[in-house]
Amino acid sequence: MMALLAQVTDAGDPLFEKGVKLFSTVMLIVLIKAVLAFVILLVAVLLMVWFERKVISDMQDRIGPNRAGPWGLLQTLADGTKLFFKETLFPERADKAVFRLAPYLSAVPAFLTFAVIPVGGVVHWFGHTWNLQLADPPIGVLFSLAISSIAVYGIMLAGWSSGSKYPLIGSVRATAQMVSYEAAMGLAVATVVLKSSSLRTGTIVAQQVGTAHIGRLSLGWISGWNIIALGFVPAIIFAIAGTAELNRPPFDLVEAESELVGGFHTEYASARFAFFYLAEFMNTITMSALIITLFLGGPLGPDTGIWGLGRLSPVWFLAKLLVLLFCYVWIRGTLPRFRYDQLMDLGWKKLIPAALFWLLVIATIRLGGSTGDKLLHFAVAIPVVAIGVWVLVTAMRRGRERTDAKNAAMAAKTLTTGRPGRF
Amino acid sequence: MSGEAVGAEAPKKTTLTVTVDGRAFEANPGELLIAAAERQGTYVPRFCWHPRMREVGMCRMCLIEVDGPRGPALLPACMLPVTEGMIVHTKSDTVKKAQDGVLEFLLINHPLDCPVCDKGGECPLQDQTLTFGPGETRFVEEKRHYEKPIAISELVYLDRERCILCDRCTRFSKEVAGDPLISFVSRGNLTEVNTFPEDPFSSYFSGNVVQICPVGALTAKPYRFAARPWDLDQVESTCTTCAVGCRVVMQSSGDRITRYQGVDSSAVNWGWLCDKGRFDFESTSAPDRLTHPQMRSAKGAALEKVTWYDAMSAAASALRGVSPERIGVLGGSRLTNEAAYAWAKLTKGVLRTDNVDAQMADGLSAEEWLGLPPATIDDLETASAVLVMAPDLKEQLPILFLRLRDAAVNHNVAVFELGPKATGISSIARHGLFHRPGEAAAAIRALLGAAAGTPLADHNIAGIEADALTAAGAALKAELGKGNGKFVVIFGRPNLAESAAATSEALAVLAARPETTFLPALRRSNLRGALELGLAPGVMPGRVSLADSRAWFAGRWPAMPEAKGKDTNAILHAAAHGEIDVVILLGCDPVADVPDHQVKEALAAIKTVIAVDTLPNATTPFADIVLPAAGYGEVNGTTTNLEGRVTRLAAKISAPGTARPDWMIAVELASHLGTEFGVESADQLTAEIGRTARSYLGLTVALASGDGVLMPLTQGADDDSAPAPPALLRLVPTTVTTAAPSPDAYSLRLVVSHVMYGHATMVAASASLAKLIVTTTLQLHPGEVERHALREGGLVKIVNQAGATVTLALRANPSVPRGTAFIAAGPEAAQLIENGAGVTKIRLEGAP
Amino acid sequence: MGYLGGFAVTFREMFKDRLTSEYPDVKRPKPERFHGRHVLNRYEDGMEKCIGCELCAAVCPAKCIYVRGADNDPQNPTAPGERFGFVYEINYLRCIHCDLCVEACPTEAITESKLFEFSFTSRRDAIYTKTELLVGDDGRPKQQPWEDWREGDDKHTSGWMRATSPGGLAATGGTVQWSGELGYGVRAPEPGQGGEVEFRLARMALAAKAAKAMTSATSDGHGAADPHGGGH
Repeated sequence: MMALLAQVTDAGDPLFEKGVKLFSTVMLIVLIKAVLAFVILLVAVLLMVWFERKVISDMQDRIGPNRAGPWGLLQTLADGTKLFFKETLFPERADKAVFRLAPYLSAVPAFLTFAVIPVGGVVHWFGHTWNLQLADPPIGVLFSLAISSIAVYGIMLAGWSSGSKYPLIGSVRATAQMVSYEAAMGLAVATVVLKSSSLRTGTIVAQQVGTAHIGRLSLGWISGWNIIALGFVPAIIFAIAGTAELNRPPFDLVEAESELVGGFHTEYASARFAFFYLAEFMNTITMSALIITLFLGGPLGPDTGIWGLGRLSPVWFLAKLLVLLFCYVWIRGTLPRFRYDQLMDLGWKKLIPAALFWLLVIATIRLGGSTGDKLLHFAVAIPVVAIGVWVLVTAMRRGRERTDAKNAAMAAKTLTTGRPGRF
Repeated sequence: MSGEAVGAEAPKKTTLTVTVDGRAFEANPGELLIAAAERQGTYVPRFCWHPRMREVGMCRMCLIEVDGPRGPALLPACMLPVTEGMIVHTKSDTVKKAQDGVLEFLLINHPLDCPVCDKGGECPLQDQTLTFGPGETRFVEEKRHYEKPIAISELVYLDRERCILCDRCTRFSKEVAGDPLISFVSRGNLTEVNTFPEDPFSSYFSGNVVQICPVGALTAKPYRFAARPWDLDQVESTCTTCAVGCRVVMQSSGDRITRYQGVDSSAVNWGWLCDKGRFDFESTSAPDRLTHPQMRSAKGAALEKVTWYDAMSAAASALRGVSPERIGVLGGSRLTNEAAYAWAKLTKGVLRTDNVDAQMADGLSAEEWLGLPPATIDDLETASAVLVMAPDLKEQLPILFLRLRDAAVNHNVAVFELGPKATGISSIARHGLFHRPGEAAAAIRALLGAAAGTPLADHNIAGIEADALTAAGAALKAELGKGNGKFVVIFGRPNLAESAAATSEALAVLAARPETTFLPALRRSNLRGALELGLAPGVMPGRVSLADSRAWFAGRWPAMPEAKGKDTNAILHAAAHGEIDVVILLGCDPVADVPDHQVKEALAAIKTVIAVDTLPNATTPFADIVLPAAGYGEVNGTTTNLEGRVTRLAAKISAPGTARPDWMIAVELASHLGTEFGVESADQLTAEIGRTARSYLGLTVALASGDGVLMPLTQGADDDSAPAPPALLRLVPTTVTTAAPSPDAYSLRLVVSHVMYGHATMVAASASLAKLIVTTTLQLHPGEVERHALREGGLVKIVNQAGATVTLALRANPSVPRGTAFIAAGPEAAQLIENGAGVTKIRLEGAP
Repeated sequence: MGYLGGFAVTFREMFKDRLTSEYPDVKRPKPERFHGRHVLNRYEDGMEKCIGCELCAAVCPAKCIYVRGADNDPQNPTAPGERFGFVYEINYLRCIHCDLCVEACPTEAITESKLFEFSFTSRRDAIYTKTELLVGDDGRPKQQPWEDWREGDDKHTSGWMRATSPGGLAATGGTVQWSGELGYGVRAPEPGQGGEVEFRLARMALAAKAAKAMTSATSDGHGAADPHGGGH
């Protein structure tokens, strides 16, 4: 593990060790990495859409797209082409500049966030040593959190600038939803950062190498995963909050057709709508990648040895990504949509307190010290947590009782006077 | 017999109390139970009973139970006159069993033809089986088979398999129509209805058996497979083929008239229709219907289609500025009342011409037709004696003949026939007096004298034997002494080959007799309405004379003619001399109908001939402007029948092409001439007639609905508004006695009169009826045939006094008296008639 | 089941058979009495069954059938009897495929086939006239250019109404009471209408009766032995 750490120094990207010249191989490599990441992401989105449609249809005993291309692989391409050929409508009351800007505000952050995701280990190609990762700034996780906040802008501005009711309502809801779940997400990330003591994605991955082994077979590539090391709670909270951030089912009432026509993207047609569509799926991939990086060990796999990430690390990354994407689709196919108040309820009353408390617990554990100190810490922390939980639960229960009583009173008033009360 | 008022005695009851299914009601004595029950709302199923025919009790479907001394008895309701205190059960189990049984028997041999039978959907057998019959059949054997269908006439098919032997058709033919040409043959199980061999069912009323047949045994050829009852929608209207004005129901499918059915109008036709009126609906969809206005650029050029505007402008400019004496208007008997009034207003009120005549020189003057004390068709039933001095009623006014026949046969009315030859009514007339053509007046005088008891001067007066006259006179006196002494004269012009003066003289003699009422035997559809509404010279709308009505019309019409104008003969005479510039023909055919062979020359000499018509006819080659009119079934309005009854006409189908109602053409032409009539519908014209025409005062569309209303109204007719309405026309009988033409042993006197299927436009345009048109023949008494040494069926050359010749085939006809020859009215007869001469005398030359 | 039971369900469903079929390459077989496009049937000798009675037009709730009958030419009859359907049109823009016309027809002339993929492109094409509705000389319906047929689609046409016995008499139940069709012959009875044995026996009896009628001359056209209908 030390060796691994040694590879990934805080000094920066190994590519830039020898200095950067404008027209050098280094720049070329950077360019190639950028283009490659872009292309791979786009193709991934294409395949992701197909994957989702196919898996959903499998779960629903349907065939799904199977006409465009073998097994319908080109269906997304066909849809995209169709979208680009449609008439681009510009609503009369839309704000010209913002309306045009909003799709990009949604799509671009998705690309950017992927930049800090480690796909594989270190390679020595073209005479340079470089990471299979577009960029590895020391503030990697913070960067990704910040960029995902920009995505909120995209949706909010899209809805507002459409100049129409339903998009506005949709975007307002979306904004509130994303903001509320960002807090939970941030708190979950905080636990990870607490453990890793670093915001760097590479470091976080490296920190997830464990020491367990069965006989001579090392299970370190799986036993150190944060999901296990931190308890399952932050991972689950992060996953749920991440799904809410993405506006994915079951948190997709932002774009619920039965309520809001199309939500924030109602007024967008053809290419602009394609961007939103693209952005959503790209974000899904990115979020999955982030979860993998933070909690599932990133590109760690059985071939991780003492000399660092093995040659097959992108494969392990891909495998984990596929599993996670399948889970997303699985959730989509199974769960019904959250109602808005239920959604807010979940975010504020359940996830944030849980994340907060778990952070407290992890922090308590991380304080370290002797066993006696630890016991003291726990003796303080647990009652605090218990009291907090009790307060929360009681408050919620009281609130529910009060609402029920008020409803009953209203109902009784209606029955006696015959005039409907105000519900 | 009303009881004397002694003390507190109640007046004697004139009705009888009958109880049907527990409900008591009052019935009239003599009424049949089946009719009384139906009147009260209880329908007793029946097949053979018909309200207008005598009951026979043949079908046994109307069996009901009547309480008797030994319990309820199963009796046929149609054979029972109501009695006081009758208790009837129509829904008991026995009755139901009887109904089930009767229907089961009827259906045993009835073929499963419903899908292909014309009656399906309106079949009493179907309906009564569903309502009153058994639900299932028990018959699994073989039904009887006949050849089907057989054509028993050109118009009627007979299907013996379907016949349920109800006897309706046979009874109708024998009792009502007097043509017993269809009857039962064979016996027992083999009984069938059939015609005699070699003797088709060529009755003028054969269509009625199709309507009354309760199954599809008798079907009409023109309607065969045309449509199903559920395809048809219908409207009530009045037939305007002849002037009787039978009430009909017009049924159409897909904007085509498919058939007419007779409506039971108590006042007029009792549900019967003659075949001509029933089947001439095909003429409305004839392929050569006029659909667009046409004009000739010059005399002799072909007719070309033009727009309405152009045609109207041309007509208006032809009429504008022409002095009234140089305008002539012929025709109008085919118009509705409203159209007649509109044209009268245009011609007399705007163009101010009085040369207007609706008759084709084949009738009498308006005063004669309308100015005599009126009788109605119903009066025939209650008269003591009826004198018929008219053309053959059976040929020209068939339903009037049926009514007269009913009066003679069922009401014992004495009918006296007086004419140049025996006609269809000879079979019902008590006395037939056949005088020489042109000597009707002498015959009448002799008859009335004999009735008064005056001995006759000669043993042969006007060709009638004195004995016959004496007998007839005595009978007449006897009949008039009985009953109410009502004497009804049905009059017309029996012979077109003699001048109208002869008939007028005879009429004058009758008119001088007090307490005589007259029923005019007008032939053409709305001739009465045309005359009443002013389409005759010297007459203004409302049966008022020109002279008397100036004040009345001064406030109502824009103008009036200055003096009495010409009638048709005079117009044509003047036209031949170049004195007429414009002639308007209102749905008439002078070339075919005016009995004068110089019509063509007259028409050719007129500068502009404007024809308003529905079909092209023999006169169309002479017309310069042809305006298509909407015909029967395409216009709303009213019509007047020969007794003065106004009934409604309904529009059911749309007129072909751009054809318009006649009244609309008149109104538009007036507009082109600068006068606005201010009417936009026929109903508005009806209302205007009700305000303006003296004999039609108070007429409204509502009054004319249903059975119509006799005009003039007896109440409310005298409008209190000033000025007082003018007096109605009255005929002042002349007392001129003309010398009778001397009998001539060498020549025959010609009798010409219209026959049913003669050369009529509507008949020729109806495919089914066109087959029935008879070739014109010369008809002579067999004795005359022998005397002239001629051969029956051979061709004969006929020469008249002026030397005109016509060649016709010869037919022996015993109903034509000796010394007389009969030719049906048509172009051949017109060739021979000298218009204006007293009688037409002809000589025969053998086969050329 | 709990909260996670739903996931188990969806996961399981992934491995089950798909219910979607690959239309239009694969078409589902239609039931025997499927209500599709109408055909006008003919007897085995080629005569048309339609007698132009207009009962179908009368019962049609959508008023989409227009029929006019006409007289049969005695020398060359189109349908047995006096009358045949001269004009026969069905407007498929109005037809609701209720098959009341099939029930109403007294001669089983009008029946509905299983063809329902007929996408005409003009209103005129939508009105099928007699030429288009009448079955061809092989007893099969005639394909119009806009109709989408696959192999064998027209083979299972003419689902039809079969009467069991006349007058409801139970004794005659099971015997063949329906007439043959061009190209198909006399159809077998439905399950429950009488077994194979009865069917064959009845068919033999019918053939014998027809043969006897051919030999013994009858004076009137379609008299006792009428191959165009059951016993009267």
